Order: sequence, then C-alpha cells, then structure tokens
Amino acid sequence: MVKIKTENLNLHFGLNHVLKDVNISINERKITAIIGPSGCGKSTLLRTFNRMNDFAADLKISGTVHLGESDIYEDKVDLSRLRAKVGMVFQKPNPFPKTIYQNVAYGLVIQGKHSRCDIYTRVEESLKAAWLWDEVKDRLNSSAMCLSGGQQQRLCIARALANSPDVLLLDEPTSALDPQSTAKIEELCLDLKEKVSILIVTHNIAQAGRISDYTAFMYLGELVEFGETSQVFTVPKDKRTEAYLTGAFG
Amino acid sequence: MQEHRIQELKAKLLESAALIQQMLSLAMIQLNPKESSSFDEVMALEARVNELELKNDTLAINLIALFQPEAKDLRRIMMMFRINSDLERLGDQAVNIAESARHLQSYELDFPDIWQMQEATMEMLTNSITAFLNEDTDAATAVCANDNIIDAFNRAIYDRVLTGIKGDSAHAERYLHVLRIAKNLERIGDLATNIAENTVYLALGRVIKHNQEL
Amino acid sequence: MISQRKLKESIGIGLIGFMMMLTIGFLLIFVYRIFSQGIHVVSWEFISTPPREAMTAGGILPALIGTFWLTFLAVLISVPVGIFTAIYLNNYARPRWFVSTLKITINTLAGVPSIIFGLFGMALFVNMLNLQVSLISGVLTLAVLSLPMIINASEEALASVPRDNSEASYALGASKRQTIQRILIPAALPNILTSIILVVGRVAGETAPIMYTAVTFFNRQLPKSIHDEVMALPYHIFALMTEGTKPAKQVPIAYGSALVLMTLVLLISSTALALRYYLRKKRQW
Repeated sequence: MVKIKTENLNLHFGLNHVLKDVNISINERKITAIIGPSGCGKSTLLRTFNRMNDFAADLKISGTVHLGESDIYEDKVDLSRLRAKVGMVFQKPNPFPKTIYQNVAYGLVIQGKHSRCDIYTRVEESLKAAWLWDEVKDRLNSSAMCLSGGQQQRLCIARALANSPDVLLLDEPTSALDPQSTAKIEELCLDLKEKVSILIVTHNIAQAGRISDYTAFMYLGELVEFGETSQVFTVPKDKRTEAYLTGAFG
Repeated sequence: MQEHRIQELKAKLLESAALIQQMLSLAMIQLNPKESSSFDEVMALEARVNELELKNDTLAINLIALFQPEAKDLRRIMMMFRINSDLERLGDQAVNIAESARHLQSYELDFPDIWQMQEATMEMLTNSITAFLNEDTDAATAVCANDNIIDAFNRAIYDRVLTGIKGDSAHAERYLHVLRIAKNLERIGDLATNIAENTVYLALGRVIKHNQEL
Repeated sequence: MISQRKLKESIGIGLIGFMMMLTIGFLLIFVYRIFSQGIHVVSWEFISTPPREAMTAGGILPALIGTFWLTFLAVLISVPVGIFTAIYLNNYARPRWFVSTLKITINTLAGVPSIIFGLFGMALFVNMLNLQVSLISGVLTLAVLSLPMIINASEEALASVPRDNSEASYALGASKRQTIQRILIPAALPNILTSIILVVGRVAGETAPIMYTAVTFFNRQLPKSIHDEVMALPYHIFALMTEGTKPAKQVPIAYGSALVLMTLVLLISSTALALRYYLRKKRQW
C-alpha cells in the first residue's frame, strides 16, 4: 500500500532548482531511508511531505504530492491537520523549555483538545511508545531540559507521536547523539514501524542498512535509485549509487 | 538486530545438513539387496540441497551488506559461507555414492569394510555438524583427529579391490564401483573435517587447517 | 630575560587595568559627592512632606509622587504598544524593505536627544491637542520617548529566541499566532522584562521631556487628576540649582533630591539585574 506518492515533483528556492522531477512512492508501515551526499536535497524532499518548506519566501513548487488520496499542496488543505498527521523529528533535539508533560501535551493542546483526562492518557501512551515512560514517569513536571541528549530526542519522538500521526519524518535524528542512544532509537524505529510509516534521512549508510526496508538514493536533486534495501545495497542498479555506497564520494 | 538473522542462517545450514545425512543413508541402503532403489529420492533431496545453497548464499551476502558485522560475527558469517559450499559438495558425494550403490544393488558383496567405513563416516559427519551447532571446539578438534580412521579404511578397501580385480577380472566393474563409494566416503570425511576446522576458527579465531597444531 | 610577548601582555593588562580604575574612580567620586552633600538633608520627613518656606525647608513628597505617576503611566502605555509592535515587526510585517526601513527609523528615534521629544510633546500634546501643561501631556511625551527603546529591546529579545523551538511548534501543527503566544513570548519574556525595568529607570530620571509638558516649580497639593500639573524629582533638582533664590539652603536640598533620585534608579537597576540572574538560572539554555 502506497502512503505517499509524488509525481513530477520539482522544487525551486528562487533560482535554485533543488528537487528535479522526483517520482517516489513510499510504502505504508515500512521504514524508508533517504541517503545521499550533502546538499543532494534529501532534507528538502522530506520537508515537502509536511510542507515545512512553505516558510521559505521564494519557494516554487510544481507537480503533485499525494498523502493517501489527497494532494497536500491543494489550496484548501488544513496545514495544522496535515502537520499533525505527518510528524517530524529534527536533527538536534529541540524540546520546549517547559515540563516533560507540557512538551508531549503541546500538540494535543494546539489541536484543541481540552479534556485533561484524555490528554494525560495520550501523554502516557506516547511516552510509552517512545520507550521513555519508565525513565520519566516520576518526574513529568520537571523541566525537559534536564534530560540527556538521547532522552530529549525520544521526548521529541513522543511529542510527535502524541498527535497519532500516520507518517513520521525523521531528519538525521541520531547524528547528534552518542552510539548507545543511537542504537536505542534505531531499535525504537523498528518497533514503531508497525503502526507508523517512517521516513528517515540519514548520511549514515550503515544506519540505512540496519533498519530500513526501502532505500532512496538522491544525488544533485534527482532521485537516482529506489528499491528494497537488500537489493540496493548488494546489487544497485545505477553506477552512481554504487559509487556512493562504496565511498567513492559524499 | 543481526543476531537473529545469523541464527536464521545457521538454522538453514542445519536444515541442509539434515537433508544430506538423509541422502547418505538412503544411498547406502541400496547396497542391501533386499531394499528397493531409493535413487530418485536421493535426487529429489539433492535438488532441495542445491536450492538451499543459493538461498543461504543470498542470506549471508545480505547480512554482510546490511550489517557490517565485526569480530566474532564476521568470522561466523564467513565460515558459514564456507560450510554452505562444503554442504553442497557433500550433496554431490552422496549422489555419486547413490549411483554406484544402485549399480551394486543386485549383487551379493563381501565387503564388510564398506559398511564400517560408512558408519564411521556418518558418525564423523554427525559429530562435526553437532560441533558446529553448539560451536563446541573440543568436539570439533576430536573430529579432525578421526580423519585418520577413515583414511585407513580407504586404503584397506583399495588393497582388497586391487586383489579382487586381479583375481576376478570379469567382475572388475563391481569392484570399481566399490572403490568409488569408498573414495566418496573418504571425501565426505574430508569435508566433515573442513566443517570442524571452520567451526574452530569461527569460535576461537584460530586456524587449524593443513594439520597445524592447535 | 622576560620575553617580548610577556612584556606586551603585561603592558596591555596594565593599561586595561588602569582604564578600569579610572572608570570606577569616576563612578566612586560621583556617588561619594552626591552622597556626602545630600545625606544630611535626607530623612523620613524629607521624603514624606511637601516643601515649605519657598523651598528652603521641608521635603520633596510632591516631586516623588509626581515622578511616580509620570513614570508609571508612561510605561503603562508604552509597554503594550511597544511589545505588540515588536511582535508585528518580527513576525507579520511585509515586505522586507519596509520592515528594514521601519527598524532603522525606530533605532534612530531611540537615539534622539530627549529635549527634542520635549519640544515635540509641547507642540503636539500641549498646544495642538490642547491638553495644556499637565500630567497627561508629560505621560504621553514620556511614552513616545520610551517607545523606541521598548520596541528595540523586545524585538531583540524575540529575535534571540532559538529558531528550532518555533520550528518544532509549527511541525506539530501550531499556527503562527499559537507559536508566538506559547513559545516565542514566554521565551523572550525574561529579556523583555529586564529591558522594561531599565526603561523605567531611565524614564524616571528624564528632565527635558517633562520641562515644557508636565511640570511646575511648586504645587501646593498633590495631583488630583491627569489634567493637573505635577512636580518631578529631576526638574526639582534643576529648578533648585538654577532658579532658586536662596542657594545656601536650596543647594543641599537639591543634592538631597539627587541622592533620592539616584538611589531610586539604582534600586530599579538592581531589581532588573536580580530578576535577570534569577530567570537565567531557571532557564537552561
């Protein structure tokens, strides 16, 4: 089942042609990794899926991006609901300078939920899903800034999960973390993919190999290759993919 | 993450080994004139062994490509790769034995050695596979020591075949088949020794090939 | 053998140390002078009673009250206006050239000498709007004076909030308004508060803007409405020193007033510093 599909996606920032004719189909409840050298457009591609690129003043976008049945770039799209359904976790953990509870509850409050009981239940569920509940259940009212880097990132994941998203976008989520935290978050992704489709941008090829079901290789704004990870990593179809994987560049 | 995949590969290898042991028994049974030919069964099993070999190859390559195993994991996967091809060759030996045994089926043979050799070989094979399953280096070393016994049987049978041909040249073909079976059994002994040596490397990182001392 | 580098370093440090001594020295002399000249005049009676006998005796109560009302009302007006303007500039204003021009203008205004604000206030509030010399004219003039300062400080406070928190807020589905209200303002608040307090200190001590718009030399009663004229501490000092007829008695009173005013400003600044320290400890940026 295809969750996200782009057709002839072209994106410009002013005169800069950042995404060139990208056609990609992301499968439901799988982990798809997007790899490629710096500046190839992988983060930009990721951000088209929750329209976070819209903040750039000189954005020009053409082609379609379908989430399920609907085109998310249509005029009547409710951005708030879109971003609740397509959650995002950033490279540097960025919890709000509020309590742990307030952080996770933020999305719910924004979406207009008022029932304290419902919110509390959802906060607990999300923290459990992010494998953080046991570590923080006794100090939900302490500041989120007191957590370690790995914990903060899991908090950001819980925060995104609170909105019950269909898709989770991870933009190099472990590049600022130590190896133990990285391993924990990788295992967490494998656990989460049962319920949520996961897209992860990573410059760490080994990470893509470890956890992803599908891999997309991008180079200079083009989608060069897309396929099952075991195939891409053993017999890539494009020479550029092979060059990148063997460390010839990037 | 990769541990359960390594275990999966191991399980598949053991599956292959079990098939081969079955093939060997079926092959040798044909030497008993009262039993019917089981050659077709042996061939069917061989097809499955070959299929498994290809699947296991892919499993091993994917493991290396996706998980960059190090140290013990790397040794395990590399050795399992080797054991995989050894198993396939074992299958070929078993087929050869089945062919020759089929030829000898209608005859009453006076070669008790061959049964003893077969028993010793099967035991060696079973021991080496068990050593691999448990990653037991002591058992593996014991297997390597037993290679001499099989060689001794092979030489004895060779002498008797030679004598037999000189004395009864009309039935030379039968004797040659017996020799072929013995040779293949000896090869099986060698391959079982390979598996044992690979098991030691896998577990300890020490090479005991080519008769190096442990 | 002392190396050349060490020598240069010693000379440099010595020079810097000397400059620091000069500065501190000035400050100490300044404070000491006012303190020593004014302390024997200051007493509870001084602070709580109005002046008597043509400003040669009595206290400065009306001036204190006047300064209080002027400052309080001016800040009450300029703070909300200033903060909302800063929010608008930071988040909503388009296009870019317009915003830049506006920011430069505000920056310039913050540096305009306060006497010009005084003249502006007189022209607009006292004459054109016919509010006469009154508390309200003074308040409005001081509000206009402090507006650029508040806008600048708020704008800077808002701009220094790290972007990644706002990004996270948007990525969770928040609208611009929600992000500003829940993330930006709480994060910028400590810095904004600190700058407000500093502006209060500044406004309390301004003389020029109130000279032609609000103050009078002597008022028997305390102000009853915003249309009354008021006394104020800075002007009181000025008046005593330049228009007083009995310097022997009045100069000490002037110093006393100066001491009170200086203490007031120091108190306000210390509050600002303490608040900033406390809030920084709470925040773990």
